[in-house]
Amino acid sequence: MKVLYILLIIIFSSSSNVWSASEAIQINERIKILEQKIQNTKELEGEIESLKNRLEKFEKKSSNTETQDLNGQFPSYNRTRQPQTFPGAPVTDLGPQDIQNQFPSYNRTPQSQSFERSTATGFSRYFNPAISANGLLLGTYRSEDNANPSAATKTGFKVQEVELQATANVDNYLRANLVTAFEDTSTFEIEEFYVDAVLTRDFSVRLGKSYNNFGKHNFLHQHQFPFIDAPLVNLKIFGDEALNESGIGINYLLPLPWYSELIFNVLEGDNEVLLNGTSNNQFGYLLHAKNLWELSEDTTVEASGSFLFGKNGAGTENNSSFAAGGSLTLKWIPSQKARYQQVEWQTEYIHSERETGVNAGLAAIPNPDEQRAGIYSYLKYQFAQNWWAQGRFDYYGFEKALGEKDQYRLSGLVGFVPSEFSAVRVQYNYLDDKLARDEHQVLLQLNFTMGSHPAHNY
Amino acid sequence: MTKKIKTIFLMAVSVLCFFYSAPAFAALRVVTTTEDLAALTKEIGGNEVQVETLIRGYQDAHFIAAKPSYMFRLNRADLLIYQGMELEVGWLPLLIQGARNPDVMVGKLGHLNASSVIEPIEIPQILDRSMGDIHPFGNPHYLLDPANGIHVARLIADRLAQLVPDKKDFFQKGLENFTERLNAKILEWGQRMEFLKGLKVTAYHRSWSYLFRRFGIQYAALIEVVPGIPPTPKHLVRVVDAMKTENTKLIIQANYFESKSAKFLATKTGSQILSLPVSVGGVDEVKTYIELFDYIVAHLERKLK
Repeated sequence: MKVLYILLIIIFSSSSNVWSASEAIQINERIKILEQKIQNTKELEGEIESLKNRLEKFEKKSSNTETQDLNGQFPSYNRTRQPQTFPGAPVTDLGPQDIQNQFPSYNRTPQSQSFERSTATGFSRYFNPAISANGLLLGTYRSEDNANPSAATKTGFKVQEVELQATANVDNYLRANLVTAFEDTSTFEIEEFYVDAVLTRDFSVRLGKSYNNFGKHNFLHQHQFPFIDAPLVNLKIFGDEALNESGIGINYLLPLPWYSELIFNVLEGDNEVLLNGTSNNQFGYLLHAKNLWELSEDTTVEASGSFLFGKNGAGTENNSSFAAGGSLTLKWIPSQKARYQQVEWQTEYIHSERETGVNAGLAAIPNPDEQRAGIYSYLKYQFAQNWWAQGRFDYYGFEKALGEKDQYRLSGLVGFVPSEFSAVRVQYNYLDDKLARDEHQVLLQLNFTMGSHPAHNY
Repeated sequence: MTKKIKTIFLMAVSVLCFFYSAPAFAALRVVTTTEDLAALTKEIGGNEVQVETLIRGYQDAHFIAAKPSYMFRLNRADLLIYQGMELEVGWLPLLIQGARNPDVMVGKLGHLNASSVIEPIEIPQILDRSMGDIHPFGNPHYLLDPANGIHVARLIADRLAQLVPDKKDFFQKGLENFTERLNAKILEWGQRMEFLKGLKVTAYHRSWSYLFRRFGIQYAALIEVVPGIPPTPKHLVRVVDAMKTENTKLIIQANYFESKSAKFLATKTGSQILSLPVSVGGVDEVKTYIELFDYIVAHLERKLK
């Protein structure tokens, strides 16, 4: 029993010794940390003091000289924030101490955080979509009279289009885009509303409504048009609203040594000209292939081909429609002078056929199929940082529907682009539409964007 | 006929398989937006990484077209490293989206924003488009302070080690070697540039803020009206006045800016123009990150000593 008692004492005392030793280590560690903190605080105080002195000198100097205030170039920056140690940043810099400590605050202040929350809900505003608004204001002169109220081009002024866009990641799978548009301030339309998802490497899918990838011009929004108006062939084959369909699209980047993309879409089939079949199950099918080669660091050539198949609502039965097109685009952007000079040459040809079947009451006498075909070719030249000169040739009528006349148009455009967010463009059109008189048009457009508009495709 | 078609089909499939599988034999594929980041990655990764830059040092990173060929390169990448602070905001999001490569998307290990270890300067107090092409998160030209090169190199080494754990020691050695050399150089450049402390110079754009801060140089005036907006004649007259008042005799600008405005100012004020690279690859002689500063320091000395 005695032995057991002694043993217990030994065990207890040794464990308490261990405990005491461990506590002593902890206390020592804590002391070291606190001492280090005091040391850091002293250093920070010293730095704050030194910076305050420098700031005072700087302010005195600023008040004595006005030459630094060039259009607010300098005062617009927050260079007077007090320094704060950047947590986690490794510092092995052997540079002067004062340089290391000039960093402004990295952490957001509670005050700034309060602005980043909705006052109504208390939720963070960080997750709001990137929102932008684009406006197109148009002034037009047309040499023909304004008698036809439905004519697309009339002498006068108008708000050509207002577009509102919102883009955001929905979650870790989907990225969504919404584009609504008001045309002439009255007609409201959802131009695009879709989600994209990358399925695996090389494959992505798009669900929703969007401008479809037929050729080069069709998928552009109006404010992205290279000229103020759309090419004649696009208007004749797809109508004013272009090929803008709801559906599902699979996009595949081919495993080739150059950029080669294949897109296959199943479309609802609503296009006013080509895909207006009356049955619900009459879808449109679109195949688009795009290839781009870098000829040099400055020059690329892009070739694309598109094929669309679907049903239309002509005659008494639903008949087939198809369209095929090809485009070639050459771009030259000198690497070292990309701000100042660029050349782009693009040509696109589109052909369509529309079976028109038979009319009711006219026993089995088929209507002639409608065929349409046309081409455009343009050259864009950026000759200074803010200036562009452009020319375009437009022809419609290689094939044309019964009663239509062939048309050609010559266009010249000068654009002043003061920033990425605004452009003033003036365009002259000479239009020969085989009517009594040829037409002269002058278009003046202001194109501007507010907000965080995303960059445009190449 | 059927046999012929079969043969052609099999040949086509074989060619596709070859191209598809070819990159799998390569080392870790790193795509960087700028040549500076590529140079830093090479210093650490050596032969264990295959590094490709999207843009070259003589290009203006603010004005880059989102070429599909860049998407193609990004599609094959295991790791994307970019400068951040919205330097590439006009084109990189499109490339990431168009690359269809889940590995380099935001939030993935293959997506690295190098500015995450940088303490930014010149954070605008007011954010408004009337102030030009400003960067809300601060000046993005941070790699022109060599000390920031060390921070970024460490970040890259960590990320490479996460992606290829077997080579962690190799990357660490590469980092230590680079850091040692760069630190010694930082001291040397600091001493050589001592004579420039307090110097005031005119610049085209705020590309030099981090470099100027290190060497104690100050801006006397800026040639562009506001960031991204070219100078007007009226503005140039004001810059001439400012240069005369400040008695500054040097104009520094990145070598991708137009030189007409600088020449006009030089004529009016009797100043010298120094057109310098702002990145590795900006001129043929500059092939590494250390060579970039060697070049800048040497040219500043040559002009001013």
